[in-house]
Amino acid sequence: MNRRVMITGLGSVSALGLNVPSFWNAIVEGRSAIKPLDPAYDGVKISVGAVLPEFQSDNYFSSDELSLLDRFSQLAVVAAREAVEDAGLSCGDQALTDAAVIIGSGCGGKHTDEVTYEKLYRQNSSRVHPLTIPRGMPSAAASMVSLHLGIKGPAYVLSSACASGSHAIIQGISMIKSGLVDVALVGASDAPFTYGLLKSWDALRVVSNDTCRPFSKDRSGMVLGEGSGMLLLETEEHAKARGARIYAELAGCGMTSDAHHITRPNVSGIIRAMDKALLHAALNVNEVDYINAHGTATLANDIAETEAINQLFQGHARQLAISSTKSMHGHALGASSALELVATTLSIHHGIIPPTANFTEADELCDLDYVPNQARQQTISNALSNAFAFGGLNAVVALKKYST
Amino acid sequence: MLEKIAVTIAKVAHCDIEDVKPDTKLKELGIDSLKAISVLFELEEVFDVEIPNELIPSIVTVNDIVQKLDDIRH
Repeated sequence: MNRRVMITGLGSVSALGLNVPSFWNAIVEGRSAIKPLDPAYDGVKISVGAVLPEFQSDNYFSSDELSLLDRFSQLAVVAAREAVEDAGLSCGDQALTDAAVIIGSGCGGKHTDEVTYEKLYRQNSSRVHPLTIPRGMPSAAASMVSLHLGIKGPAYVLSSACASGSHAIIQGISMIKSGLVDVALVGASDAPFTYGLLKSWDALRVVSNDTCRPFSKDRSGMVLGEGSGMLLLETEEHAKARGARIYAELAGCGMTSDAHHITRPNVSGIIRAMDKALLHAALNVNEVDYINAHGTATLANDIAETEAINQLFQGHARQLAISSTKSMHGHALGASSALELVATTLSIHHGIIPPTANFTEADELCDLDYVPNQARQQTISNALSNAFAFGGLNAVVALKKYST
Repeated sequence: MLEKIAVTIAKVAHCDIEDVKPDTKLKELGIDSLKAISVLFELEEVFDVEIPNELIPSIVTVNDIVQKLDDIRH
């Protein structure tokens, strides 16, 4: 049984905009959403980020609904609604009722935790809000998407730091391919702008105070972002039967773990993940046109990822277009890889390769074509989307332009 | 005290304060079991008291809240 998996709906909320058209327009323009944090956080060294522009929760939810929605769940529901609507489905449709919803999150309901801990430890209060548990639990995003969209199939949240989105999407692919479900709503959500989390990232010393310049010689680290990316997946047969528009095919995936180091990337783990994705998608290295890189702009990641691409793709590495859209939407942790999958899907659909924004000067150890600063019109037949998380958790997804 | 309680209930339940009368059942104000917990939380904050869990099942009307709070405070 070869059940091919199609992408038929997209949703996104990010610093680039509160829906997919604004997200894609900014990417095509090479516009970075990274800005000084306003207001700045007292006592925090991190001073820039990719924060949602003018997100008004009450434009999307009633106050009763908001009492149960941490910010990361709000973003998940908003992006999920868009993906479902974009796919031409609506709450109550049998296809949606029977669907799975699998959501990745790197950090879960941190805003709820923050309010609780501040009340307890700083204000010395003896009480916390009674809805703290249901609002803050990491699984809340899946529950809330299920509840708001009437999805009654398998639903849960999984976590693998910065690869959470890709792992969630791969889980959806696996469920569809195995015949468990015909339709899956997959993606990720993260909202990491809290005082406690910023202090923790400060301490790790990997965040830039300038901007995110992946693969540039003068890169100075990652820049945090927030948001949610969602994709509606279904079998080819199901999509065709209901006349759905097909953006692209999710042709394969590769997952590995490094068993190496809790933060340092590992070239062999990256190579094995990309290699497995190509094998799963029945692609040769020379058939790949574009890689949406993990590209965090840390010193270590960009060198390791470049070396892995060079070793696996050999001579074809220099024919590839490679870009990091984190330069524009920031590193939204678990949600990043879901946003990047949305970007990669649209690249194939529109025949436009996103640029690596903020690119300045080539690094001799990063010697490939990173599509600096300007998007490029080019038909993409096959693409990879890379995600390599802390702890050596690697997930690569292979996409193909759809053909019967 | 009734007025203070009514204001708190109306705020949490997003209902008209005119509808919050002593014999009104909380369910009639759209307060389900989950929202009732939020109402009690707000009342604990406003009156600086602790409402024991065992009292909760016997709270049906607004007046039940008035009585329980009165007992707790004296």
